[in-house]
Amino acid sequence: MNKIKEKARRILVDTPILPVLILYFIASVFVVPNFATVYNIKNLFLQVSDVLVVACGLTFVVLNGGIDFSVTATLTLGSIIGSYIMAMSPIKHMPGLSIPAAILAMLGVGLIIGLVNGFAVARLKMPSFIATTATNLCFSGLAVLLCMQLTGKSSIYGLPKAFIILGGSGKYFVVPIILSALCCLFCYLLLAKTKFGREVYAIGVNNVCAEVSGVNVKKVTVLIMVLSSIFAAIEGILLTARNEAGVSSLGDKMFTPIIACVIVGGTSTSGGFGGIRQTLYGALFIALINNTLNLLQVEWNWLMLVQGVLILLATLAGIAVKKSRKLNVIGGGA
Amino acid sequence: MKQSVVKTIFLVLLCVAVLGVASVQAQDAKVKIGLSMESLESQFLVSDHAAMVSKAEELGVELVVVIAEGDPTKQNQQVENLVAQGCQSIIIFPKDGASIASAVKKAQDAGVNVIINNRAIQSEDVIPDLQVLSDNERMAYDLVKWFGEKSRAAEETYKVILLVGNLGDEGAVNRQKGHKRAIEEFSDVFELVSEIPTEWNHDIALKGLQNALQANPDANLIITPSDFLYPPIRSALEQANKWAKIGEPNHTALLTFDGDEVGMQYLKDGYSEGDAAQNPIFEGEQCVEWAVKMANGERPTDLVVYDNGIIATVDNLDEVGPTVWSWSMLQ
Repeated sequence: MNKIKEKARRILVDTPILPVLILYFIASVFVVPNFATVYNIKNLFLQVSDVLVVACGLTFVVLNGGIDFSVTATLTLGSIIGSYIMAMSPIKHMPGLSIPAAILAMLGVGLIIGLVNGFAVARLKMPSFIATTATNLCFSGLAVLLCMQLTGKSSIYGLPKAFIILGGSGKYFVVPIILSALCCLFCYLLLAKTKFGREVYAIGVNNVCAEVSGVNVKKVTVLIMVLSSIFAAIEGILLTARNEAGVSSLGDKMFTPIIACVIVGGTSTSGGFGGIRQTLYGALFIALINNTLNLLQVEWNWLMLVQGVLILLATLAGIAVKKSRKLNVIGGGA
Repeated sequence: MKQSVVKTIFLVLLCVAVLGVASVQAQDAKVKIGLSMESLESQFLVSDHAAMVSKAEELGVELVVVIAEGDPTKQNQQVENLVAQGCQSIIIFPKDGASIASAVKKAQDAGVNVIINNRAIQSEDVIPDLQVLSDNERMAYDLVKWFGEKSRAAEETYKVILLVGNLGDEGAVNRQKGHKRAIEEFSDVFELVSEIPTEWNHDIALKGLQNALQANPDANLIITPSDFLYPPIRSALEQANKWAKIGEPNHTALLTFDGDEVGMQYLKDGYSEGDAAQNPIFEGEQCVEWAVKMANGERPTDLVVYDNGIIATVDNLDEVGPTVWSWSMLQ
């Protein structure tokens, strides 16, 4: 009995949003019309996959005490470049070549932006807030410019059907769900089971102590920024497939829901506490709120207010639970 | 502390329960139409939305409204949610004509009728059940062409500052194309000295316009893709002492788009030369009427209904002004 109690206490400390999520889900089954249908549950998980991968990548940065505003620019620029390769380039009629080339190019965008951010933060010692604001403006502007110059339009469509499968079209709805779950699992294992993961937490708690203890802070910081951008690029692949188009405004309004998944889940913005599990639960909770409020037909002019209130209540509940227990500050629970 | 946690969780559940009860009370056996708006950030969108709400009330149908706040991914998610709650028809005012195709396809696969409002879908495979469209490019071109012909006949020339909306917005892109096509065609009349991307943001538009007027003090024509941008236009021109009526020495010619009450008021008062007016009332009402008809099994004979718009100018205002949707709001 004590072991069960201890386990429950641990869950409440590490993932304060989880009991709120479970209770909200159960309540929704009984209270929200059309919620507990196969179609809607399928949609719910697809909608989670729309933000989960990029939120997992961003978690590394937040655990480090930083922020990465450029994730939305990364997924947008990748979307435009990848779509151009698949729909308008000289190899567009060879999906066997154009799809892998596009995916590699999109990942390449993530790698380049991540390296730029990492260099700025680790080597030039720019605060991540400023560095990633600059790269966000730069690369989202580049996305718009490229799209206009290449197509004269705001989006690129006509993507190959084999690529669209990645977005969960029709009977392939499980594909993005599985892919985002795999990315989430990878990030979890990376944080929870590797030396690199422990170093991320150590730097997040106190980077001076971490450095004195032998952690290569600069290298880890660069790797964190690269990871964040790579996962943003992967999310860009999934969203481009889901939207069946490269859209130059794809990421414009996405940063708030992405960071909400991380913060509401319980990862601390001061670094050192939180992890991928928390982000997963945060993503589930945000998607659940959006889905249920739509199904409840909450009037549109009340929707944002109600969303904000629910998120605030859930976060307060989490803070209250966390404060009532002693914290295990290192490895707050990947 | 335990008590506060329990209270907080209880409050969450209470919110859900209250909302659930409220919505259950609102539901009955009516035709159910979903409406997905990309945003309500301009008067045109607000009027289009209001026309649809009003028509739905008149026809006695249930209208479920969702607003995507300019996010194409969110709009797709919201359309999925509208399908999940059993809407028989869904009207979509898309943020992006290409990215909405996947949501349209999903809705149609689920047996839901889909009507596109104002912005055409961009897809080779997906055909909505109906599209009610305005031809932004043609209307923008026609207005500038009219002014070009008038100016050529009067042997007048203009240095043009061209405002552009958000380049992620297809409507803005098409208007820019129309404006530039006419500017190029009348290159003996118009010289484009500055092009300002505004992101549909007043602050960005104001700063851009101030800089452009500073760099080109002899600019004497401003072309804007929407009446929505009038506040920063007026502010910048007033600061440069160029906000004046037609015929006054420091007048700056203005050509605008949308036909909202601000734009038409300035046209009527003599500050601008022309306004390419879409008709959001017509578009909105057509969408709802056909959404209901299709929910009741009727099919349209044509897949596209066009809003031809009205080119309102200083020359024809008495004749066409009263036909513009915002005319009754003018002072």
